[in-house]
Amino acid sequence: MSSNSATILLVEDDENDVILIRRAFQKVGIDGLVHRVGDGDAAVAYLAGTGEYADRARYPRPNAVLLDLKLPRRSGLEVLTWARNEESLDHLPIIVLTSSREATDLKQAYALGANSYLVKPVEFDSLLDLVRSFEAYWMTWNTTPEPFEK
Amino acid sequence: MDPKADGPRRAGRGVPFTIRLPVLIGGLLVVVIAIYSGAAYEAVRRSSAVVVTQRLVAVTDQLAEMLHQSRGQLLKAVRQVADTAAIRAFTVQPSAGLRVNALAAMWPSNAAAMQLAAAELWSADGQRLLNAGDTARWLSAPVTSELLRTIAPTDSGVVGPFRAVGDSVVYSVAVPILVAGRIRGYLVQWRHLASSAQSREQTNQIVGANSHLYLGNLANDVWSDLSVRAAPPPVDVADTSLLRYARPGSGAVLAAARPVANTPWAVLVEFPHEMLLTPARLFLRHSLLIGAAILVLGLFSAWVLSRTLTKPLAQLTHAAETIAAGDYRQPVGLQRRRDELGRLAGAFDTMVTRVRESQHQLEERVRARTAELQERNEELEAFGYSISHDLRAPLRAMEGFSQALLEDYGDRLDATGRGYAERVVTATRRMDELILDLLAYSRVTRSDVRLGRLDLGRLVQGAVEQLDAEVRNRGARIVVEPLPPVVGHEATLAQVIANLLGNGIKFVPPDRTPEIRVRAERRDGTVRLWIEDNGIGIAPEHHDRVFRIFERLHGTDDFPGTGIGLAIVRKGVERMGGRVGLDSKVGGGSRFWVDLPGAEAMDELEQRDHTAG
Repeated sequence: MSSNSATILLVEDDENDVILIRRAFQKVGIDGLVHRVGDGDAAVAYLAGTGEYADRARYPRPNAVLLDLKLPRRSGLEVLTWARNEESLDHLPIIVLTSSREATDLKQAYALGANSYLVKPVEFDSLLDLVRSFEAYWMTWNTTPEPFEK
Repeated sequence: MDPKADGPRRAGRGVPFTIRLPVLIGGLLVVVIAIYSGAAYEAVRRSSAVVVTQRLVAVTDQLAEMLHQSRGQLLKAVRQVADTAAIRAFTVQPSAGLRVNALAAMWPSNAAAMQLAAAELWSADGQRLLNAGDTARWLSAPVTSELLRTIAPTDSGVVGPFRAVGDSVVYSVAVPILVAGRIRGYLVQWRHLASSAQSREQTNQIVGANSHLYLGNLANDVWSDLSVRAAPPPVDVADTSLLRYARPGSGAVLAAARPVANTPWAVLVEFPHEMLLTPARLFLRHSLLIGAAILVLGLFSAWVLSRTLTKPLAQLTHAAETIAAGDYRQPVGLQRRRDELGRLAGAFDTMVTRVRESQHQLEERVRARTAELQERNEELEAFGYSISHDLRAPLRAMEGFSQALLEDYGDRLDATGRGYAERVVTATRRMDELILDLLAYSRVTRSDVRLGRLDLGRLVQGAVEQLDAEVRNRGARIVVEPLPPVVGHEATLAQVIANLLGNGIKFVPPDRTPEIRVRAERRDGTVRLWIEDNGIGIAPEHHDRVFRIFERLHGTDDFPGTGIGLAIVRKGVERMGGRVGLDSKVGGGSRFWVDLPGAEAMDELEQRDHTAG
């Protein structure tokens, strides 16, 4: 699997965080592949390929999802629940990236099928480390079954 | 306090009332009966003694008087014999021709019926002229002449003292024979003192069946019981007071004696002392019988009474025990009684009802309060969630953009501008630390702490690894000795150890290499974990303060920190049921200790659960 063709869906409502995460990806060198949506409904629409996201050439199917938990309209956990019930998405790596360290969030996220749980660091250097590790692990080394195309 | 400690004084307290009450009442009855019977016995004995004494005196007086009168009759009878012509003639002229007539007059054919033993005729000059009867046995010349000397010339005759020969007792009656006013001789009759059945009956009626009558000489030498000779009483019979002595064969006797006037005789009436006690004894026997009946009745009544008292008490005790065991449903069931016990039972039932109601209310309140607390806790969790998520988001932006500013536009800022941007970065990092510590404190405060057996050595090792960056940064040396297993909550204890180790590394002067020793000692079921450093130490007056939240002893420039780390330690240890403290002085390093239950406590806990389940 080549990292060049890989796409990452970033589900994040906080513009500041979006800028900083994009900056980190930029520094790691894979910024062009990150697609971002700002709420839970948009995330579901993107993953389902409906509405404005029907054009897969413009909005390709992601190889991994970075999912915030606290989102407008539909929460990250709801998105996770929906995705794990979709046959075509049940092997899609979904990595939670949130500020919450709460045990209830952690337990629920893993129980609902999150592949990993990352807490957003305050220091940018740490975020950079995190993104670098993410890219190496999920984009380069991790392998998933081929998605079932609709 | 041991209730048995003050022993014998309270020995009776263990005896049930069903025995105590009858014993008490029985004892009282016995005492009353004994005192009453004793007093009554004594009174009866005394009054019977008085009656007997009076009777003895009266009877004796009467007998003495009777004998005195019969003396007169005797003398008269003998004088009539002495007055017969035949005797007078023979006395004047003691010739053989007159002798036969005189003998016939002196010794009539019915002599034996008259109790005559012998008779004799003496001349005035002291010569025996004639005799008759059992002369060989009874007659003695010296005795008779002695008797005749006592007859004064004017006297009409005398009764002589009793004489005994063998078992038989006789007495003499002597009268002068007067012829033409001159004493020409004396007639002496010797009479048996054997009473007839009729006279014995008579005396018995006078003295009573139980008494014995004796006749004897005042000189106390010869006595008779009216049929045979009797032993003389061992007292002076001239004494007219009440006599007490023992008669061989009869035992103790009460007696009264009286001289018979104008005779050498005395009369003696004896009454057996034994007979005196008989009515008192009879009375005593009756009163004891009645007493025994009363005692039996009293004991039975006391037993019945104590049963009626103790049975409801036992019921009450049983009810109280049932309630003590936690069962509030059983009523005492004595309400129908109208006495004090019935009222007590009623009050008891009311109390039980009240207790049951308030217990229900309490349970209800606890349930409501628990639900309320649960809600509060959930709110707090939501609050914590908001803090961790929402408060940190702007921090990330401040830090990230300041960093971006420095990286991308650093060359366009002067040194002051870069300094400001760097200060923003530092401040946000501190703020983040503060938030993270507060979250940790809040987690330790409200998280569900489930205790279990923990490998203390592995936990310490994990904490050391977690602090790897700090250890390497300061070149710290951490020595961990073998540690025993403890009971605690894994995440909480890991946090506690990490905080203590972190402090041990942090609070060391920059020019000194931090050295930390972790060891443990067992103390009577608990394990004390020691974390000892060579840091700056803490003055004793601050030992309590350091565990309070936001307390700091140093400026952030010297030793950065939030003042929450040790508060987390204390809260965490307390929530695991342990204790924390320290032993330190300024400059001498600090020795923090944490007391936790040893793993044996967990075994006991499991054992208890197992047996309970």
